[in-house]
Amino acid sequence: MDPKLPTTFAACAAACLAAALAGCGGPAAYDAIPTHPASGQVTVNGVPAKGAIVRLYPKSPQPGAKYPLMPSGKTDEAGVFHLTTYEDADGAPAGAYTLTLEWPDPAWRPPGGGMPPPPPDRLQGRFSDPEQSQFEVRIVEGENDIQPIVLEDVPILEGSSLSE
Amino acid sequence: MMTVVTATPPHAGRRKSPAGFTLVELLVVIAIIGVLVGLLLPAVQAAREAARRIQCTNNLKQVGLAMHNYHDTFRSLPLPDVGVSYGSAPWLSSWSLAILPQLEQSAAFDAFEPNAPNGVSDQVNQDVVGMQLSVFRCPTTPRSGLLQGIIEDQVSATFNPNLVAGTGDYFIARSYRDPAFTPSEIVGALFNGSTSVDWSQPGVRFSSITDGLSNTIFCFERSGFPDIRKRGNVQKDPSEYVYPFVVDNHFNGWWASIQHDRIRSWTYDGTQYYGPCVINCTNDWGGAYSFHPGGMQVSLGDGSVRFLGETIDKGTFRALVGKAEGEVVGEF
Repeated sequence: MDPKLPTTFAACAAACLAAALAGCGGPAAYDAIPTHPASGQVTVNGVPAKGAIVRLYPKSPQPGAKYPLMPSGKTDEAGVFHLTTYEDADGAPAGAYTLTLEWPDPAWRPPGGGMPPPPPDRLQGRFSDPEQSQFEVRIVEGENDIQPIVLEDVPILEGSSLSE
Repeated sequence: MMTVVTATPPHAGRRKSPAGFTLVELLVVIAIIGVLVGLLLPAVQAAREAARRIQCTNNLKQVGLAMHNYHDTFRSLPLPDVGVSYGSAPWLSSWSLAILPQLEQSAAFDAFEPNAPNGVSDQVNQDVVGMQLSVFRCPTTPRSGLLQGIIEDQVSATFNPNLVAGTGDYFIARSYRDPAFTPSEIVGALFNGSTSVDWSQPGVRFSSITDGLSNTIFCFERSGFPDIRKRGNVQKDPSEYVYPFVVDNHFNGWWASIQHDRIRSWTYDGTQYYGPCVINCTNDWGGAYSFHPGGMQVSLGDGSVRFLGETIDKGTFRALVGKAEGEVVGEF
């Protein structure tokens, strides 16, 4: 008997099994338009804003997208954010955007006690309205470094702080 | 005299075959069995999930029919927050309590003490709130028994780890909110105000659901709350919670709690809200989420239960949540 035969069989069986299992599962696909990595940094009153949410509103329709895509990102300890359109740090579709910024404070509690609302914006909504935003961003093909967002002398929500 | 008979066996010329299998034959059989088992195992798991999903469908059906019976009795749908009146200092309770008699749980409804100072979170109501009613629990959701510890009262907003509550996976939609649309927020079926509840008014009547009952979602799944998951059923790190207070204090996720919320869109990885995904990306604040592979179940206003695929068009989903927008609902 050919001594290689059992090995061949085992390999064959394993291959069949793998092929059978490969057919199942897997994440559902979705339609996506090309995105380009983009990152930036947020500083408020000299402190890197940790946990701030940066969101980009498209100024014109994005070709291929049925609904407007609003890439967003959350800043880390250093105030650095990476934009996400579909998942992870995939960036944003190319085009012109209005950038908005809010900085929720999950530690905020109502002064009179009671049920805290959804984390309120430390910046009190000053930069969260795309209609009034002063920040403009253009995303191009390839890596994008968004100009650092430096906010000075911004009044902070009462009962909130720049840390945490 | 002895005759020696030498019997000549038939086929004497052929080599005698050995009893049993050769190694190769054995391996072939094992390999075939292995492949068959490999094919079957996922199918068995899928069949078990299908059975659980059908039970979940049935639960939503019961809830949908209970809403209809409630409407028949009271001429309006239950108010989302206050199923039972608590006088001047209301603790928010749920639509689930209000429809208990319609779910053949009259005994539980009668045992509930609506005037207890802390309402659903009062010690005297632990017998009712601690019931694990299977009609509010989706069997697909991995849960280990009762929820230990719930938010105690609304004024001090404290967490009581000694209270227990029967879990609940079905929510009603307060609204759908997504700045990709204009208006960015549209109100859900059971809400009589513009984006919230108007307690001075009766609940919503069928006649004001002008989009049609068969095109309007009553209940959707936010399974597993307050065990927060993101893509691939991976647990979210507490630092990623969008509204940590409601998670940490077990504000929802038990059937007697308020069990309603806005639905928001999310990114596909479930980390940022207002993205392209509406179903099964996270059960965090605003997420519509089930543990069913490929989609989520909803009960519609006509009492039917539909499975909505994860790939559903965002605009279609929004139109299903809204009750009077006049939006055309496509195929879903």
